[in-house]
Amino acid sequence: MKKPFYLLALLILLASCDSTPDIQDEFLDGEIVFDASIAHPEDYLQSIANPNPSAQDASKPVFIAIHGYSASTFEWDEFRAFSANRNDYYVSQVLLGGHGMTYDDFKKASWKTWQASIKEEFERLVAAGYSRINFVGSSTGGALLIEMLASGYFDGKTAPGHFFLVDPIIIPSSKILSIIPLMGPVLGYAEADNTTDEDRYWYHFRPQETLQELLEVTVRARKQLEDGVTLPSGTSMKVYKSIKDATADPASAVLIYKGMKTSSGGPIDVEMVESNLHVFTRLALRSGTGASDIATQLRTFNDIVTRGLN
Amino acid sequence: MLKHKQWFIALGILGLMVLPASTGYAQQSTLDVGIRIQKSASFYFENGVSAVYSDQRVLPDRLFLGASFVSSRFGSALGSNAIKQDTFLLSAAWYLRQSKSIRPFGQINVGFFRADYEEEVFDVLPNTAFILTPEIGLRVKAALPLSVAVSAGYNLSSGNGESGPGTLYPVFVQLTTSWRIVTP
Repeated sequence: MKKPFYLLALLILLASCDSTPDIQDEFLDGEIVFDASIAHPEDYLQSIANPNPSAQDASKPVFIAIHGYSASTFEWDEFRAFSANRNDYYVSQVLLGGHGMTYDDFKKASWKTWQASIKEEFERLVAAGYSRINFVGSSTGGALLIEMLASGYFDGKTAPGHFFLVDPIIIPSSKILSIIPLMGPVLGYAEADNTTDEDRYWYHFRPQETLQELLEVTVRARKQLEDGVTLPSGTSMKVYKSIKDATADPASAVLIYKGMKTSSGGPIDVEMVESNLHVFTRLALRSGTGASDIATQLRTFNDIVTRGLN
Repeated sequence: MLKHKQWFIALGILGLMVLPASTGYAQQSTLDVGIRIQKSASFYFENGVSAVYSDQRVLPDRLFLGASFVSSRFGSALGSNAIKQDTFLLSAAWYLRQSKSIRPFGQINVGFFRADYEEEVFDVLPNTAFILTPEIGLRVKAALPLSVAVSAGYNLSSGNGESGPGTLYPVFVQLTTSWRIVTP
């Protein structure tokens, strides 16, 4: 009698694992809303906007801005707006591979695919002659940059000037991610608590396959930091970390500080930010933010630009 | 140099090699002392020592009271940049299948966790917690006074980014290889 019972239980379990979420047209996940950089890359990527810069233009700093897991270029739109009236540097907003398109495109992409578009933009800029390249990465963008540094991607290449990591994730706040290899196939996907407006710029549904990729790249970056990562000669790094963050645990900053050193063996810069927002530099579409959040955002943008121009 | 996972497997195999069990301690007070190897899911190895005691006057060979100390200092932080963190545990365990070689057990741990974030800039972050951990597993008695206990536990007070230490993870597995001391 026991065998039929177990079979029935298994069938019920499998039936309860609906792996096809109810995707609505207004979601980024669907087939109508796409990241704007796909249709107009020239508005987002400096390498496309000006692939043949003059010597003077090529000597200006470029900030390659990289968003986080399940997000889109929107995450750095405010930095672009902040920089709109400046002609002494450029902002290049990269859309991570597999992002900004349909749920199925997102589901198929690995963290290496996410990372590939960062490398592509860096290599296009270097090939075009841009010589002062900085990186600004938020959340998973930070983990992907650390992985690039640790795996020797920049060896023999034009060394970036500065890395600025905003709320980088090495340790997830939700520790459920740590057991996603077990739970993921049962869950199928996770549903994000986005507002209606945010659903146009962040995936509403997160396939478990992508959560496994997120776990893999964060664990990999953590282990690389445990072994020790050294910045290229002449390159600096600053980490800005909210002291309360429901997505990227603030202890992530501790691991980066301990594991990342300058080429001379010195410490990197860390600022623990009085904020409870994940990626506190993105205030658009958030409710409940106030003057102090705006001040923190502007102070951070100014700090990034000031350091990046030196 | 063996890596952590290889130690984990080697100690397990050592315990299984000395099967079957001797089961002659049922009505005596006993003390098991051993080495505990603990791995959090997708996180650190934290290793240390463990002792469990069963008194002949109080539910002998069924109720075991214990104490453990595990630390990443003897695991992932050994020779690496991993965070040094320590866990002190007191435990009460109930063992089933008295006098059998393979004994399932349930255990409750209470204790204290502390992570050392080292730098003053991180003083704003929580780095300590009182912990409560249910754990279930199997203890396999050996022919020699050795036994091997494997179990899985769930930490009810892990960090969530807004409270609690971020490096305190919820799910762990552990393997303890113990030497049994029979007290008079």
